[in-house]
Amino acid sequence: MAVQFNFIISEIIAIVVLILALRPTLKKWKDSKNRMYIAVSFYAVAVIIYSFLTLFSFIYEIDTNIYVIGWVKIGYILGYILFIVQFEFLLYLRRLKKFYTLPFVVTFYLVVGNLLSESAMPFIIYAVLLTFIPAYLLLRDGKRNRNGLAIGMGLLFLFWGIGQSIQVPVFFQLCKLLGAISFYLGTIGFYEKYVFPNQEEEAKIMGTWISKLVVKD
Amino acid sequence: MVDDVLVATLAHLGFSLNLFIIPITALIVGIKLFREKKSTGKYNFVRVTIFSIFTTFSVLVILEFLVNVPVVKSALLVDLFVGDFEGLNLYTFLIGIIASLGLTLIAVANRWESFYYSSLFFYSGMVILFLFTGFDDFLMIYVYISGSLSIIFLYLTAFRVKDNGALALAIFFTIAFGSVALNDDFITRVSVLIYDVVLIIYSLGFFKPFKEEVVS
Repeated sequence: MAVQFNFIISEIIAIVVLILALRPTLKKWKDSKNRMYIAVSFYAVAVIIYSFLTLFSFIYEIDTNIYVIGWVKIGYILGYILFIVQFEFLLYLRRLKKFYTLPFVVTFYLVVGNLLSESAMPFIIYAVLLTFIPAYLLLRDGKRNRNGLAIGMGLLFLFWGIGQSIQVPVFFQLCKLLGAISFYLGTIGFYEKYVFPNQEEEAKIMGTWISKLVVKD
Repeated sequence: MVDDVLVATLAHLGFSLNLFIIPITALIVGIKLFREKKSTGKYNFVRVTIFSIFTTFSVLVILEFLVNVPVVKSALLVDLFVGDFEGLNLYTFLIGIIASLGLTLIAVANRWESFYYSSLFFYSGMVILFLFTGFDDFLMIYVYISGSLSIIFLYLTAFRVKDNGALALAIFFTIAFGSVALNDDFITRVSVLIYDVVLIIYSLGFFKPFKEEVVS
């Protein structure tokens, strides 16, 4: 009972945090008209819908491990939809326009594979690749360009990936929550402010401190 | 009896002609491609696709010749090639690549950037699925649909931009896929001779039904 309660609470917090994160991204899009913010918002909405569906299936005791057709589970379908959005987001981010149809083709064959075979390996491999590779790329780019939003997205992917890899429900919920919070911090500019402080300002402070020492001497 | 001899003679003539004409066409297209690369510094994607189509087709006709020529040959090659539409084998694999490249050519010619590699992704998925599960039921449908779409769009593109190359390829694809679809021995043999003639005219640069091309 306590586990169920914890699950519902953490899922609700994650949804609320993600909804809060939507506000600054949409505002930034309105100000800059940069389509990247719309893409980020779209991905956040997909994660929110996924979390809502997970929550409802949990509350109404719908077993997501039920086979819909062949060996296709409800959980797989939800995962595939989220992965399409995630993959498209990554391609959009890297401006790989020629690969835009790849996520749909891969998903199509994974579903066909699920119809024919019980093996979950293709889904797991796809999930791992689509979680850790984008996480690495986003964190690398975010660090290089001092972009907090990219860091937030990277951490969201990373925590989700770690949570899904270690198949312990409590740990997965915790990771999901951490991911949502990291993403929210990215959207409000937390990383730019505290993780990547302004180098010029830092140099000025450093300069003042050194000059004070010199005057004292 | 006379019919059988005629078909056998036509088949032999077709295999022999194909063996020279298609690789030579591939070579001419390749030379044009690399010459253009040298002068402009980058590859022309349309030419790369056409070159890939003819290179794949060359491999197909060479293998077909080797399998059909009455000499001692490796059983493995015969088993892999099959030479008929019986599931996914080397013959259908190569035809599938040509059909996919036909769709790629349409996407490239019309600058539908998002669809440049779609057909190749779809076909690769089909092959990977076959390797893991042995499932190849999509292949026939795919080849027929992609072949038909390639032909329709090639004609549309050829008439829209008044492109001689696209029209030549459209005629070539119509004859080649038409003969595969009809699957009649006599028609196939005659078709081979016709498309060889079309290819000779095209590769030598004599195929110019549009006097003024909108896009060169």
